[in-house]
Amino acid sequence: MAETALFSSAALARVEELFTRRGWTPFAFQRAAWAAYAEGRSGLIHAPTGMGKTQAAWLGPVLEWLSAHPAATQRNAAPPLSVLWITPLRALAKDTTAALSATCAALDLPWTVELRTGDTSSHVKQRQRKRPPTALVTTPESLSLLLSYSDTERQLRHLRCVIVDEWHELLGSKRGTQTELALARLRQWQPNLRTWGLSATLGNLEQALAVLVGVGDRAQGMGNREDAAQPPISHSFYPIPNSQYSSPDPQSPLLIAGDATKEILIETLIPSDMERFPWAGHLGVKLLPQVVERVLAARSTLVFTNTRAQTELWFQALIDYAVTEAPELIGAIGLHHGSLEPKLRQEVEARLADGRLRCVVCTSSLDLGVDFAPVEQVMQVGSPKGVARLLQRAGRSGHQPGAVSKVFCVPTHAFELVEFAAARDAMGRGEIEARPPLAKPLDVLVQHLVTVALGSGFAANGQREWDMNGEATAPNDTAPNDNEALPGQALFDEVRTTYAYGDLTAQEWRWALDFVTFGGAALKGYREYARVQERNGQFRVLSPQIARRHRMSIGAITSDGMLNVKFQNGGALGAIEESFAARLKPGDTFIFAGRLLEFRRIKEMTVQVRKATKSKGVVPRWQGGRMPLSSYLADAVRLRLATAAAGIYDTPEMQAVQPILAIQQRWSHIPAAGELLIEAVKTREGHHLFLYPLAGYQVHEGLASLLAYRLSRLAPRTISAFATDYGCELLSPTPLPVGDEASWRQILSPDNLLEDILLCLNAAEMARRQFRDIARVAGLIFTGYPGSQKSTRQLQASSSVIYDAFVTYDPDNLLLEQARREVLERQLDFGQLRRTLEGMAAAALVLASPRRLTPLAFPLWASRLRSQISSKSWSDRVARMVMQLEKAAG
Amino acid sequence: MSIGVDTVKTLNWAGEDLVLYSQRALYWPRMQTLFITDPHWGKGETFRQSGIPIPPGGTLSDLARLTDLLVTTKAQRLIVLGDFFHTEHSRAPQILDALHAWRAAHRTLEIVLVRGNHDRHAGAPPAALDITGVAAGYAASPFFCHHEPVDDAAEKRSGYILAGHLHPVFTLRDRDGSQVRLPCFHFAKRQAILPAFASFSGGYGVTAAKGDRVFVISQAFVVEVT
Repeated sequence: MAETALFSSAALARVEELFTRRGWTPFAFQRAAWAAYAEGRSGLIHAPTGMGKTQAAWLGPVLEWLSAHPAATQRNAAPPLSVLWITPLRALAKDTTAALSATCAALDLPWTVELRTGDTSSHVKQRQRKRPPTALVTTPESLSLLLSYSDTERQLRHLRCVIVDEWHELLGSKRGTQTELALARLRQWQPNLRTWGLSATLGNLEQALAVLVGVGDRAQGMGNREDAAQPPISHSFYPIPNSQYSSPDPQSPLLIAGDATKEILIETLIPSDMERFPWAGHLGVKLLPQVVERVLAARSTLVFTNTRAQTELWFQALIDYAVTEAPELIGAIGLHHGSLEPKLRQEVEARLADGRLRCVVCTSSLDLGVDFAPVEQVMQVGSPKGVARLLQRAGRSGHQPGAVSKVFCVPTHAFELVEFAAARDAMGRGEIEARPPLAKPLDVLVQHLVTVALGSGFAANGQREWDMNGEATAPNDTAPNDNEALPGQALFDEVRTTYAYGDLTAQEWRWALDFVTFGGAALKGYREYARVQERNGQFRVLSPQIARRHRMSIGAITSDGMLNVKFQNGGALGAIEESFAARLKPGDTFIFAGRLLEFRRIKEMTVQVRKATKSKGVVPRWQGGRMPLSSYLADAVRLRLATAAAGIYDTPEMQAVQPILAIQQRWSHIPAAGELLIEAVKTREGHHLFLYPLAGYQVHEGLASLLAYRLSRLAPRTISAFATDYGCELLSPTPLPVGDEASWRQILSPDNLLEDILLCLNAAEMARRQFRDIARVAGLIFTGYPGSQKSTRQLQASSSVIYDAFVTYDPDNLLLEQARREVLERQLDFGQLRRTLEGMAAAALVLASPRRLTPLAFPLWASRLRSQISSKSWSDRVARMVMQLEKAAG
Repeated sequence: MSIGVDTVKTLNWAGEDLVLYSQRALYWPRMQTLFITDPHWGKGETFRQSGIPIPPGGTLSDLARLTDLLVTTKAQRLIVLGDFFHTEHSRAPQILDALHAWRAAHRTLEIVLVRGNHDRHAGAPPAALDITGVAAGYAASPFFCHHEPVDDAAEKRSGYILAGHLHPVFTLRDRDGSQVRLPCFHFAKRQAILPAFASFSGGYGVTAAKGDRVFVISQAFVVEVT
């Protein structure tokens, strides 16, 4: 045990004994993580769920403490707060707390492990502040909230380690950036703090590590962004030679891979009678009997879907089916998604854990999870959308070390068969999606500045200047100068140690500080404005009302225009989107939380419902339910099609879909590698153009608008544009002015892309919508205190109204700029759009004019139709079309 | 959906000719009376004083819009259907100064304020503004002026009601699924709800019953949607 020599042998023996008692042996990666922790390093442990990541991170600090306290037992007094465990989901926090506590008890440690999230009652929180536990399990929001109290620094003076669980879930989101800022604060207080992250498999693990550990102290010239982006030591995902677990540099953070022995199998349920022309969005309940058969064969099953709406639909379909066909499942099927009331979710989790539920239909709310939740098998309904996602979901089964993780894929339309085959290909090649972190979102910075001002406060004048002159001078408002200290220089330096704000400029810093002190340039000199004020050389929040409001809104990053759904007698069910609720009329029925509900009215931000007497209802749609196909998976699909074009059908999925692809080949063409297929079809609706770049929904949406704009510029006309993950469709009542290759090359040119995109999309309107999120994070929207919404109504304004006020009276506000940037980068994925167009410019064009909609075109056509007309007439019309096409296919 | 674009719209209601202005006001030419509702003067001040950095300028530009309307219509009387100040914090010196200057420029105008829910907390306008405060139900025959819309059927039968309070907006949907919410006038058979005058204000979606007429407004037009 040379690598863990820094821990005492007695401590190691105690842990070994625990493993033996449980019938385990520590994995090499677990030992490696403990050793690295003993050396004082930070690191990121990545492994599929269920591999023992939790113990790899948790036992480091435990071993260290045990080495110093060899005789300790549970009868000793609990040590002070030493470990913070950050988890992205409240739902996870409870399980994690239980798991960590259990380990401590089994080791006979006097450690206490407690939970602190938004659900924790205020008296528990107060007790925790008086007598903190040894380890605190919390969320990024609750951690930020802790930073807003002035005694937190003292509370955390014994802190040795922060462990961030499911780091991949936070990375790439504003919550991740919020975590980065909080970690920078904690490191400022405890320079020797070790940060450990746990992550699922990602394509950018090295970057994920750099984001987690920060980029060092810039003010002293130690480390910079370039170095940090590539940590000196890293391990590839599969496989890891154990000898490489140590690094020549004793300080550098480590990337540690879990053992790769866990096998992942993807098996697809093949429809017995392949519908010839299935379409996107079809429920796919034809496979219900096969799904139920699998469910009956296992002790416990998770059925993952892609959207909350799909979860509700599948739950209904399963219980309806169970009544007649599988009575043993009655009462044994559960429903779990992020919009349900926490109590309902917890109930489902508990009933799954103790075996009362045999099947839970869920969304990514159950993607993550504590390693010990017993699930025997996993199913994925519909497209996996991404390789990492399918890997993660598959990992929820086969938790016993050495067991095989198996995921049964349930296609809802024919081309998902191709996607499943492609996902297996990509997984085999180790092509896993990256989650790029966000670059300096100013709304999160603004929130953090208020949080810090509210907590410990921060020095108003630059420390350097103070040191040089022996006294503080007023901050200078003129152009930034490198030698001159900024207002709040010390915090500026601290913020710049994060990866996100590593290149924050002095100008952006000044703006953010102005915004929280004056309210921004437009409010400069407006004396009544007081969010953050300078007092005795410190930036502080002085108003108790502002303090209270800020604390209330710290956690608001995740909620998004949601209205609570309650029975009239008060029973709470969860939340639906405002936009959906606004379309409901009294008496309308909808399906939610697995129940059929009748809408009564909206009152005080609450949707009042009662049990419906009708038997049918619509299912709410949640924004953001639409997840685009990842570019890795899209690439893999393109390769699969190219293989099919070459006549190779070598997996069960491809064999099943072969008859459909044969028709595609006969009527039009299957795009081979390096080809772009464009189909022109005339129907009663008009003249359609279908393009299949296979670049994912987001890119196709931008592309469709761009092409429609450029075509209508050639000759004014009405063109409807529509996109899916596979391609886009343009529809016009008159023939479109493209026929030959030269005209297409012109239309598809990557030149003037940005100008054209901004002109053709309603970029202003998109920015206005994007601003909603920004305004909430930056504290411009206040959603009210729980239970007392009325008292704050006079301070409520919609983000749209605030956006208009900013555009009119403060057009240079950087938050507006951020909204525009987020639209381009996050909604449109402009970079990917450009790359796609460049790829198309290099591709060989295949122009086909099939006589009718081809199998590739049909899903596009059908989903467009669905977005236009009500669901009932939609399915009728699609069914009619299917019959016609099947007749034609003969 | 039939659409006719205009900067004003004229309609006959309760036997009177009325003009709907895209500047969020209703004009009654026979009585030379301009109706507005929910100006919420100084709303931005309330936000700013609570540490929410809404840029200033809203109240001043709304006042300028009111001046434009008075000049265009040559109205002799202004009836405000409630919610004059947003809160007591709205009575900031710069807001009061602006209101006094505005009043000085329209010395002969008769101003009536039908007290609304915000007025109860924010208090009456300063006496120097020379505004007559009245309770809900104020008669300007054949109209009865209210702040909050009237639910009571009997009261509705007794006359034609003009009201505010709701900040009505109507959502227009495009074929591509995009939508836009616009302030609107909502004329039911016996009751008309006016759009909020304050530009810094949100709105409450209108549910139009059969026979109702809804006129949405944008900066430069009034459009009837049916």
